[in-house]
Amino acid sequence: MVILTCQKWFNSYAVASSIGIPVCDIEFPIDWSQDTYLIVVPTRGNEEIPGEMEFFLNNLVVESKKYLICELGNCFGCDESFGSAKIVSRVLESKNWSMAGPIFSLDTVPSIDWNELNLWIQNEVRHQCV
Amino acid sequence: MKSDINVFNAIRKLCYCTGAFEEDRCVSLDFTDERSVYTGTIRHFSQTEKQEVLSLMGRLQNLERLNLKKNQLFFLGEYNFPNLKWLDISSNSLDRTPDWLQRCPLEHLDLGANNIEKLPDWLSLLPLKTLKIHKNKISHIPTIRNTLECFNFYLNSIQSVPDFIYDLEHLTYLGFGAVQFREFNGVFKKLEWLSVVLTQLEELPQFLVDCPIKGIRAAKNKIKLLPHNIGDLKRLKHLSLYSNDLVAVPDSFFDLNLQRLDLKKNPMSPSEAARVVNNFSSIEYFQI
Repeated sequence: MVILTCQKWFNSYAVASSIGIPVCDIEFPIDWSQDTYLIVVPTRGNEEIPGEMEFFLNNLVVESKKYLICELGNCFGCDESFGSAKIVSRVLESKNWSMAGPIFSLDTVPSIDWNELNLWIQNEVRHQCV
Repeated sequence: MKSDINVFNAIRKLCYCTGAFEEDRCVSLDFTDERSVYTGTIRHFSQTEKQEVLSLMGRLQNLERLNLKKNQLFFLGEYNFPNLKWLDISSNSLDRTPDWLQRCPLEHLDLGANNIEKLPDWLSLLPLKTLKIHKNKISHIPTIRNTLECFNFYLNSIQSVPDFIYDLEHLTYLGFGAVQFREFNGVFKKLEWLSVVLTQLEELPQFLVDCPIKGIRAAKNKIKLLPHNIGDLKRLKHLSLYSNDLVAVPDSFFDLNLQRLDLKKNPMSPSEAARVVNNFSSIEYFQI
């Protein structure tokens, strides 16, 4: 598995770097030899994704991979999702990518919820890597 | 008048949009499509292509309703819409409020999720019922007329909550947060939705019990106390108290008829948490 994120997204890059899996920056050439990709992406504004991710998705030609999404955002409670994962997922599904596990919404406001992140890594990411 | 139809058809040749007509007058134009991934229908056009569409749009001077949200326009030129009452220009990376809006009889204005730093004083002259300015960089909010029913100013650069909000006697929706705020200094009688997030608020105010409130989103505050008679809120369906300082809930809490409840990240004892779980675990959404 390889993580796809962007160095410009401070929190996302910090989260991605902590997981212990190789990290690829979506603004640079990607190693597409893997079966599964973990996308770490923040939510911007009103349920939007950062411009870098929008550009990446619009130009994505690779098909039929598996993916996990860790979306970052501001949890208000009673949230089903922060928004960015819904967008990323729809685009990837349209390119025949398949979801390898449930979307993980990580609260990062006012600070990253490292406990939730570590639980998710233990329960989902490590399982995918076995 | 027939020209509105011609102009609308010309726009439709360039992009997807929907419109509404009253006789030959185009009164509504919508550049969004909720079925599309990014919502805005000209979002991925070049700036030149966007300007071509917007130039045609400017000829539809009978517009009363215009939806341009999530189109990443970056800039909105000069227009004359003397009948425009409803405008959504949220999520467009705009850095200013267009001046021509002061000549519109706007009742609904959504400027949310842009990069606006300053709001013009003439905003206080508009007959607004809805004003959404959340997620900008605004440091000062001019006094808004008390025609307002819906007001969202969450996540801006203001130092404190403006006092004029307590004069907005018709408010049914109030949303704010990420600002220095410890307590309400006035009451609201008609609130149906309250969103107060990321403040130092320690008590959910007693006045809410007298409101026809349907939803309360009070996440990430310092709330320790709920009104003792919160169970009297028979219309309340949606309650988020995620990440607060609640140790216990009052007995009347269990009289609530909630559909969605989030009490996650509160320092409740296992026995108190169990009491809540027993009462609410079967509702539509429940977290503790």
